Amino acid sequence: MSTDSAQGLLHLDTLDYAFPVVYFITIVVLGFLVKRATRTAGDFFLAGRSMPAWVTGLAFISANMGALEILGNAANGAQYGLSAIHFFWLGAIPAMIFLGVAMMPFYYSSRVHSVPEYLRRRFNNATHMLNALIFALSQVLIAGINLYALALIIHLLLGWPLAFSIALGAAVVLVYIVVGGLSAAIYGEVLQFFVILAGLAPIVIIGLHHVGGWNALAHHMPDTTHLDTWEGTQVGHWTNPLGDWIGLAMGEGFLLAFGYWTTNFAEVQRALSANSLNAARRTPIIGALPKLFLPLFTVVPGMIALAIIPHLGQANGPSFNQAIPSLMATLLPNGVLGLAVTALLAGFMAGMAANVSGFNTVFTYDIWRPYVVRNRSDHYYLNIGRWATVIGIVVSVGTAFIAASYNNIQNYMQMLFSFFNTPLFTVFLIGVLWRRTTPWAAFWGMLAGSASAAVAHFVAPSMAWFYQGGIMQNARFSAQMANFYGAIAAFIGTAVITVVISTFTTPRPASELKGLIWGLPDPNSPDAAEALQGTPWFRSPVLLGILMLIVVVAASIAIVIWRASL
Amino acid sequence: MNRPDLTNPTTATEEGASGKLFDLRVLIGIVLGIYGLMLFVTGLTDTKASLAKADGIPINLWFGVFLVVIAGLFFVWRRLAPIHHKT
Repeated sequence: MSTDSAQGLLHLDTLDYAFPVVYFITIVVLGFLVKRATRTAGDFFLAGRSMPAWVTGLAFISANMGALEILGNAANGAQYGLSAIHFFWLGAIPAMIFLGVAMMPFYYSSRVHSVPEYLRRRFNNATHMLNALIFALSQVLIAGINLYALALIIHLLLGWPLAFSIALGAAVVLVYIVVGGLSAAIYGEVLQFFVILAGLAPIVIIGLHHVGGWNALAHHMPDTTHLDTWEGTQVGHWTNPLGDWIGLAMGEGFLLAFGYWTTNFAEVQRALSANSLNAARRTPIIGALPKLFLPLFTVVPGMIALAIIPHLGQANGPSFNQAIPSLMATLLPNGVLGLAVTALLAGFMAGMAANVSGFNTVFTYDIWRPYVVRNRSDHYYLNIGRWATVIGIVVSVGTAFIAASYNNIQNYMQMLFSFFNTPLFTVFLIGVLWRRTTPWAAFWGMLAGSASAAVAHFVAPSMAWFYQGGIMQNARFSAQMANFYGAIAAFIGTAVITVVISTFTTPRPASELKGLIWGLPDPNSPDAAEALQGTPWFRSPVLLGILMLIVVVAASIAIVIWRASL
Repeated sequence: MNRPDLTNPTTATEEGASGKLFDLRVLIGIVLGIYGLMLFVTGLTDTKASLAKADGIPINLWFGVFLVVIAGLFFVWRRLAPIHHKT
């Protein structure tokens, strides 16, 4: 990036620096407090399955609130306007409700410690190893990107050298995860959640006041498509920045989101640490409530930045990624400025801690224990987990420098996810619903899905379908829409190959699948007794899920009505 | 503000197996409370320039008060629903 001066964008005084210092001290103290309760590998990797639902629910959301997501969603808000809300309301919330209502029992009650282990129990070792390796690799890569994003923020805002910032961030995460394990990561994430909101809120308050309120903000937008959510999504001649409704609803809403939220172990792990099946199921549903309000703290600041930062996103101005940092420099006085800087630092740590704690679990339980060194003591694997954390963080410092050599790393990573997450989700879904699905069908189905997504990705730029208004100019190409359709291609490819191969290969006997598939409960499940107890209505996952869906639909309609009233 | 002893987690949670871990609500309350007080004190000494930057809103002052209130709610919540052993 271009800023090479030692002077950063922001001018912090001593008081501002006190905010991140308080934060870093707290998070390291937290690691040591939690250490007292971490005696077994189960404590380290699954937090002893002891967390209440509100804690796991907020951690579930925080794990996805890295610096990348905060800055990236503000960038989307500035670039695409209101339709960026789809990534929250259409793309995340329904998938999170689905995870809690339908999928969580298979994960939690089968006592698997990870998503790859579910694949081993349901299918075979080959499928297990393929997924474990892909997951471990992707987590280290993403941790590196998070680390790079943090260093870039520090460099841009405060003028510190990139290498120093990368080392500092890595060191803090290293200490509290190695010492405290998943409990420390989860407790840290919940604390981060509140610090992030507290840090971003003043930007929204002063920003909205500055432009003169909601309606004034709408009138500041460069053109009316910036206020579209569902408007302009007609198939064949779409004008919405995110393409037509088929891509939106099927690609983003169903396949990409369901694929990410229901099979991404860094997320699912938070729910697995809950203290009961009911708490595990409520985890993503409780997380959905703050998710509803997060656009206010990300998309809206992006739009405010577009209104008041001159030349934002143009060749002669700051990039869209700098929407929030630019607002901080323009609007925040010392004091809340220090808090906002702390929020961005906290956001980075939330993302990185999630990647690292997911990585050390899968590395220890799904790669090291079954395939490298077997049958050792619990204490041995606890130590391997600590070493995996150290190695994972050291490697991610390396991948941070790889990330530094790319220009637009976020689009690239999103494309890779559509290659891997959608096939995994499709195989998972078919495997749960259809008893006849065979192990090798799952293995080849996943590979076929990734190949289909790759083909779709390379074909899309030569099809008028993916250009705004059907006019084939570079600026009118919607990369997001191509990703959505790529996910649809991956789904079809996986489904066809899985079903075809299943018809002529041998499925596993039903006796081995109890508790792993739909309609075949495990009578010996440790949660069987809990299912018999009545739960009060306010703790029912299904009811809470339905309520949440009604709220998000109502909110979507309210936005469309507000847009029409302008 | 009477701060619980962070170095001794057993003072934060008295009873139960989950009391192995300290009560997270205390930690959140402390951090938000400290931040609130820091902002409030800053707000008392805000210069004209920093007020002007924030569009004339005394944001440090008001947001400081707001955070202290939120911190207080965490302590009230802990008082009303202490951690109890899961049976």
